[in-house]
Amino acid sequence: MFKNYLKIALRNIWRHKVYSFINIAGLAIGIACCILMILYIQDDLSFDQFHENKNELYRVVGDLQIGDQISRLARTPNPLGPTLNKEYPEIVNFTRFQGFDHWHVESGDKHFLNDLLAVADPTFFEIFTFPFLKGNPKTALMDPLSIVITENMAKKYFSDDEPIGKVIKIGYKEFHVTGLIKNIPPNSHIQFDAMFPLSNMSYYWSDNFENWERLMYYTYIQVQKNTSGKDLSEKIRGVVKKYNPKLNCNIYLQPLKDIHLRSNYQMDLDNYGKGSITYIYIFSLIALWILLIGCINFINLTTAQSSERATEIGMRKVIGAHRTDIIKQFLGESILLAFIALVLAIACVELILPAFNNLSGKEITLDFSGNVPIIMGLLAITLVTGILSGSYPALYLSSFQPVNVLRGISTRWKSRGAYIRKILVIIQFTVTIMLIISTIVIYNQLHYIRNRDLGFDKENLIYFPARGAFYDLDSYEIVKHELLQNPNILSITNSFPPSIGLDETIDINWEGKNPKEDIMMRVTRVDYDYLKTFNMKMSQGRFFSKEFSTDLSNYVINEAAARAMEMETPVGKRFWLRGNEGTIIGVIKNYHYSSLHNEIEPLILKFREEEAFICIRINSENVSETISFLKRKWDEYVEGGYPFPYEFLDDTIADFYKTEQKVGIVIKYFTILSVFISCIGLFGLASFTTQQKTKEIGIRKILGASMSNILLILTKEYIKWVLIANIISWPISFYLMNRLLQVYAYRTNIGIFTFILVAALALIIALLTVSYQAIKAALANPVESLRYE
Amino acid sequence: MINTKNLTKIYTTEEVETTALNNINLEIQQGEYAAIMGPSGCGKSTLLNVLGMIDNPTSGEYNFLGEEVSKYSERQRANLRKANIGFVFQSFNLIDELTVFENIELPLLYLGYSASQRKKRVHEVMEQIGIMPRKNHFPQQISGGEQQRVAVARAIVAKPKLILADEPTGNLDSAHGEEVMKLIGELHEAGTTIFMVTHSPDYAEYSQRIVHLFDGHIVSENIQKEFKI
Repeated sequence: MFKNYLKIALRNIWRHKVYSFINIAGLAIGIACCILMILYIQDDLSFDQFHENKNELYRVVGDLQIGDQISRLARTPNPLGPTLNKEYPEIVNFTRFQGFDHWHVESGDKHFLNDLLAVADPTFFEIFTFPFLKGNPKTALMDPLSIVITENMAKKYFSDDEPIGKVIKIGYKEFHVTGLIKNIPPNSHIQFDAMFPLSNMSYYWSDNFENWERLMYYTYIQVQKNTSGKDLSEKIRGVVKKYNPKLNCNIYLQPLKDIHLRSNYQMDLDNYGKGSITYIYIFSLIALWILLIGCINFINLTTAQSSERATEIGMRKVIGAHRTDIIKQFLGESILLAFIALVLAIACVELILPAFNNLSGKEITLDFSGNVPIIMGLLAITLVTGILSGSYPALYLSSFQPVNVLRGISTRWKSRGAYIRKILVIIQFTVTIMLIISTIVIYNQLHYIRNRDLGFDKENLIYFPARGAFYDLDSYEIVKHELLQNPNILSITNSFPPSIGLDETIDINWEGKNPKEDIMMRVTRVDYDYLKTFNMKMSQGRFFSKEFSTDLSNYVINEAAARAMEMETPVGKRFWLRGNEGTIIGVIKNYHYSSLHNEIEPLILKFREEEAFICIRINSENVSETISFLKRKWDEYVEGGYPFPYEFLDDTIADFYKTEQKVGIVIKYFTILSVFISCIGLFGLASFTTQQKTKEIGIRKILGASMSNILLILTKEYIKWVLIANIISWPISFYLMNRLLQVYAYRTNIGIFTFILVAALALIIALLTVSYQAIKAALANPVESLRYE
Repeated sequence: MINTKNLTKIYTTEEVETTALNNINLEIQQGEYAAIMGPSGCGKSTLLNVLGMIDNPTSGEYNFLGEEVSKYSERQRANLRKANIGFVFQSFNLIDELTVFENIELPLLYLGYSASQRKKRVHEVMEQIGIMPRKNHFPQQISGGEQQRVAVARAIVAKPKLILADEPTGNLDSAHGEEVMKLIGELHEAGTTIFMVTHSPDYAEYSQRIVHLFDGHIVSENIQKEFKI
């Protein structure tokens, strides 16, 4: 019996090649999208799962309340880790962690600025599992001047030489390599090339490990087996407030497995490809949706074509088949089709994986050996697809009464099937239109982001860390003077460019401040030429100037700060930042010191004391010449042959929106696929209904209907469907897009024009799709079409 | 074998009620060859469908092989049907996607015969009907007469006790029609009960008894050949 079903299924697929193609292509694309999503999710879920103690590991995070605002912080006060470890027996171990880049690293004649450095407590390698090739994980970081490096780092500095015992110089300090570990896998939220003991930070940052006001590190703890993280979270909640009543911060535990996907914290690690559970939900929904469109095509075409199979079904029933036999047969056919689609889908996935990896920044491969979840996942998806798309047709077809079929009456079951088909097509178009609207809104927002006036000029601005002669304040003046001789160099400042090196504090005070109310302000450090180089504007007072020697301790604030301090004319008022008294000399016009996701909040500009970045405004012409000029100067002023680490500010700013850009690209492709599958489905349906109306068209033509008349008859139904789909999708997508744009403090408007444009687009697409069949039918000789009947 | 009492079938559409069969009382003996005649729309095919249990009567009793089947469920009817009744239709109703062999084999599949049993039986029938050379052809590749012979082969492959034939020669030219009628005659000779709808008085002559139907009533029955058990 199975062989009989298989034969008849394959012969039917072969006989109706166009319909089969539409069905299989739609399902294959849908399944391919789902496979990619499974791989993507599998990769995201694999994050940080390679640690032996993974179930006992937590990161301590906190909710910091300032005024009525709560900030969720990924970092906790410096002394928290040791304190928790001492006070709570459930906590068996702790380590703090922080990473940096752009530091001077050298060994022998090799030096680089691009190593990812990290510091941690010596317990780090006991808690986390990073396999050692050489050295002992328990003792590797015991010596304050020890350093553990990865294979890649060893290769970079020592080629094939034995790395253990070699000296690596970081800044002015020398470290001895005590451990060699395997490269950090990409699915780790902790990334570094080299790690040395945290204690060194008292040297590099003059850090104080007893200070509860400093939140410099991520604190990880290991708890005893079978300890409930929730209960422990409750217990430790008030620890920070206990030791530092000024810091209104409730701490709690974040399970290790949540860090990659479910983190929404400020000051979080960002040197790896962070995941987002929200995007996983959105993308999975869209992938499933695309699969569903494929299924809808199958349902529509199979039921529309049902008369082709009517005799067979009738005859089988006459011979003695039960309804369940027929249902089994047709479900089997749809599952078979789904499996054919699966094979195609796997081929598609193999083909597009490189591009997909490129986009997602992952290193996913489709490897079946031993990957049970993916095999089960594929089988499940294929079966579900087959059953989902096959069950309605199976129920519908198996309900045929042989007596109707065999009496040769061209029965009119059409009406019921046609009704369902109409609804399904409207659903298809509704969601496809929603996707088109989403794509347009997302791209509008990206366009808005690129073109919004940020309050400064981000174009033609390059910056690089101040090193060598740039670093030393005396020689900096000479170097600056020399660089400005080049006509392509318009202005130079030794400052932190907007969006880099910001710092936050509540340790501020001013004349007339309500002592009960805390507000948080951001701090950035600049020099005299900051305003000019970035083309910013003052709102009141003046900017830092060489003419006033006291300016080194004075402050400039932004308009938002003036408003927060409730001052009309703050200029001249006394102001204390971290206890340092100065005068407010000016109010700078608000500018976007960080991404457009965030409101412009109070900002203090103070004169920089330590090293910052050399920011150079260059002529928009001769850019490459200017850069090679600067590179020559870098080589001249910075000893040691470090590569010139320059960046364009507009690139850095564009990076803030990397996620959005990727989401935009993904949604765009999903939309294209969705339109494509919907259209081939519509094409199939149109070719079928046109065939059914052949007689009607023939009669109308004989009675004198014009070509345009006929076209209208054949297309008006589709026009109606698309219009209904538009009306349904508009409010839904308006709501969804508004929600999506909420993450931006500054966002584009969703204009009615977008909706009208999309409606027109959908209509044109639908009409183009059905017009081929319609025109063919309208042009046909009426005699021919009547002979059919 | 067949015994009906006041068998009535009424088709109801939204506006019209059509009485297709009106109080039919009919008895057909095992081994009998009966023909049913009457003008178009008189209810011949409906009667055949009801007797073949592919349609349920609206009211009345229908006794088939000693079982009262008029209230049977679709499943029960299908089970009874597949074991006992073979159908031959005017429009052949062969399945286009199956070869001659596979079409004939189909009833045996639903009866759960093994592959070797099926092969043996189908070959026997094909020999008997004389379509062996067409074994691997598809229905579209053979003539109408051959198609109907395949349909007859399919009807008899499961050795049914009753064959219901609905104008088996209606779509055939006279030569082919004659062939099919001969075939049916041979089946009768071999002991199968035949109940056949026909338009043609000539072909009705093959039968032992002719039932005349008009507007859903049996108007007359004439026995033309002695019926021997």
